[in-house]
Amino acid sequence: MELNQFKEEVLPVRSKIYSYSLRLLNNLTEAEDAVQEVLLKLWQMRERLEEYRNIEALSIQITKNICLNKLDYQKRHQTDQVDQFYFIAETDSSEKRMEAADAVSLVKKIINSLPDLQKLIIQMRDLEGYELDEIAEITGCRIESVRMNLSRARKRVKEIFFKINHIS
Amino acid sequence: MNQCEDIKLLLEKYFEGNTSLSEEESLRNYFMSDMVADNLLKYKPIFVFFAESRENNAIEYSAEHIAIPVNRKRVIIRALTTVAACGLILLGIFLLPKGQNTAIPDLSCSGTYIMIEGECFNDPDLVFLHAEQTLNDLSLLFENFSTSDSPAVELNE
Repeated sequence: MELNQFKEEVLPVRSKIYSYSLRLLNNLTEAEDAVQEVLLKLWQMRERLEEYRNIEALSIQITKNICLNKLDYQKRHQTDQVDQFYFIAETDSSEKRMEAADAVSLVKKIINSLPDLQKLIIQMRDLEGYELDEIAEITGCRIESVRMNLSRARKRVKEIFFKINHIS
Repeated sequence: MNQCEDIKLLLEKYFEGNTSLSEEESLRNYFMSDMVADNLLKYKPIFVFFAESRENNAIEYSAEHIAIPVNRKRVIIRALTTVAACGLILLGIFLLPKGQNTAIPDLSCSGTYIMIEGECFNDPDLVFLHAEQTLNDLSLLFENFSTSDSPAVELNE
């Protein structure tokens, strides 16, 4: 499925995804992030979308699961970032100075530990080379919103990596 | 302005999400080279990871991303509910009386009776008559058997 077809068939359900997210999360920013995440996930599975009879139902199902997972995550991981620091540090930085290969592998692990939306955006931009306006088109979001999430993701990778390696 | 300063500025832009694709490519190229300034070496693994992943085209996240996110707690609850429902149905099947027909008394066979060829007989005279008839049939059979020259097998005909 190409971008134009995606925009025609999937983006019309964006408002429903947003209102449903807002109802579940009761937070404008969180709801907007959920919409981006849902649409990026739909974009990731665009080759298989034609197998689904009802894209709207699929979108709502994904939205529901993402929102419920977000709520669950918020309850359980108030200090998730700190937990992740220690978890990754314990498993990967037994030596003070890591080897280059280990350091690269650690970057990958940190990216995998990012929240889904940040992971999706950093993957699309830094690994797949999407323009920000393309990501904005896919998600139907403002480009500034995409840029903000990309910036958060990159800064988070840097902060965790530096912290584990005791770099100031 | 030297290259190191340029890269520092680009890095600032990069972490704010303000770099273009070509600027990001030049960052990757810089960090993949052997010319990285000592004070910037700390960034090298990040850009090496992106450069190598793009070169290898080995994005190992795809499967994880394509999977539809599922609320595991709800799935577990749904599975347990299904199992419990099946259990109740099976329990119900085994605990129900085995067919209500057996509970209905057969009035024709009440009291003292004898069953002959699937029929109930309460009347002693009828039973006697039936028994007598059967004995007569038997005696006739033996009579035929003892007087006949035919093999016993033919008696069945």
